[in-house]
Amino acid sequence: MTYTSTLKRDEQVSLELRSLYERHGYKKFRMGKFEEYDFYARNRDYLAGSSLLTFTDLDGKLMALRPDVTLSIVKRTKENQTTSEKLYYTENVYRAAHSATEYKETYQIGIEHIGKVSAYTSLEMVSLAVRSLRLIDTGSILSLSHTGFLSGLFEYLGVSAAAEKTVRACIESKNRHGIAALIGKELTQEQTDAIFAVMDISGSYLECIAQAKTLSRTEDMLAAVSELEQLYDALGELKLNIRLDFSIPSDTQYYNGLIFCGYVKGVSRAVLSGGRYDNLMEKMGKKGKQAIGFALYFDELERFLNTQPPEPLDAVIIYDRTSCLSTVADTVKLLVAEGKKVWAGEEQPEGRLYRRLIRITENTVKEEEGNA
Amino acid sequence: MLNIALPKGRLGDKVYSLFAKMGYDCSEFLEDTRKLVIENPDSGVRYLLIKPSDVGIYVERGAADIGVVGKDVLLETDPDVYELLDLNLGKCNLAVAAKNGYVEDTDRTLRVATKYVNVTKNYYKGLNREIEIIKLNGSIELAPILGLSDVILDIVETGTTLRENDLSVFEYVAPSSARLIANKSNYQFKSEEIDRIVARMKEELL
Repeated sequence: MTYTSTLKRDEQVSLELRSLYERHGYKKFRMGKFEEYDFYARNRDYLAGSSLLTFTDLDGKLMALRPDVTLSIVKRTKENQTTSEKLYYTENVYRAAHSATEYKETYQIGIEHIGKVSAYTSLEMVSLAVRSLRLIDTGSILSLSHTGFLSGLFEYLGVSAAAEKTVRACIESKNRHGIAALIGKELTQEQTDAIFAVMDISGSYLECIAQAKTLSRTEDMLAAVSELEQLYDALGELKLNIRLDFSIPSDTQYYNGLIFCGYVKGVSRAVLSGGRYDNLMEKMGKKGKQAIGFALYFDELERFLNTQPPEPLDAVIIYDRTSCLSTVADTVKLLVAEGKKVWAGEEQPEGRLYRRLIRITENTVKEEEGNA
Repeated sequence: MLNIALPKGRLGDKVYSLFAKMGYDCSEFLEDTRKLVIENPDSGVRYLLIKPSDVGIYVERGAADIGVVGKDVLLETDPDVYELLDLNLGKCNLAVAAKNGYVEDTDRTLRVATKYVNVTKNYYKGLNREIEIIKLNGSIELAPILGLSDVILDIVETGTTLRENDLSVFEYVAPSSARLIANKSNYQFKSEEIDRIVARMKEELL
């Protein structure tokens, strides 16, 4: 008999995800809840300005509750390890959300592949991302992009570093008028036209690929597009959930190469994000290591998955001092064995719905209608 | 059904007539109604009438798919949304204003009255100026007159309110106008509908 059917939907999804990753050979990795503050202070760039929840350890060292899991996983990766590692985790992270006034605990499930990333590794990662999203909702969308495309474009156009930041922010918010405002200042007309052409890429995945190819001006851009094309060809029926979108946020400090972002209909923010992060490995001193991974954020998902009101109890068993102890115990045992939800006590539970009411006095068992 | 968040008031009315011209009309809108939700199943739209400063939140959280809001509000609340189009309506400036003839004493903490707390903070941080923010919700112009603050940071459209209260613009902070915004997740699922609206709106605004 399994007990998982009584779990809430988000808990079930969480178990299904774990099983999906286990089946692909990923090993569960559990880590401490906090790290030395210094560690995050040194790697501040990767935390997107989110503030840390800090406290002082017994020996006076400043500690921080973990705002991010990937950093901790990268930190523990040994430089001299020759084989690749496949890990997954289910952890809470602590950070103050953008525009929020308090810290939040967020449940995260993620997987990472560290060591050497082959074309198959990328394909497996994207497939797992789609299948993870499908476990939540079959109509979900995974948007793919490649950092090499925009980076190559900016390099070819010779956009200054200062302007690049503004332009990237505008592309990420599909804001053309913001870029148009830069003409004659940070950008020339030709540069702007080229950027607009990239922002106008639209249509089905393959149409987007074709347009991106004709707009590619450098080797890097072409390489990025053909990587996206190859990947799509190999995805099979998982293609149904895939889109191409060069506007997904691409933090180049962190990511290089393939990046992706998952959306579920009815959840207002991206629920999944990930990509290739060799850059992060390199900057954290793990030279020559490649890595790819993604995480699912459960903060808003939890509400989305648990829209059903709580299931009523199947039976409430009311006993008193005269009841035969073994009669009560046997009744409970029998119902539970049948897969029912049972509540036993001396008086009816407050604030809960139940289908049947069973009263046991001495050896007699009487049944009544419940309140559900 | 596409949920469209419109700011209550003059700007909302203007934007509605734009949508109506594009074929997304709702006769009920023009009636003197207190309804907050008005829908037209035929054209597949539902208008939500919302306090302007809340439009960004409704769209960011996905209660509305798209919305129209002033850039001033976007700068203040910084919602994580797509900013699809500048409608060039409701044009105004965010500006610092003070009493006529005001001379800034750079040796003192500047007292700024405003409802744009974040814009004010960021603006003066950029200037390395130490300030004290006095958060007000309306009639900001009163603050410098009564000596409650040295300056105000507010939107200035024609400047009439400032003139009538013996105030004038001290410096401009940023221009503002109405923007069409969209929820990032909902856009993925309704991109065709939303793109069609953007394209039609561009034609209408030419």
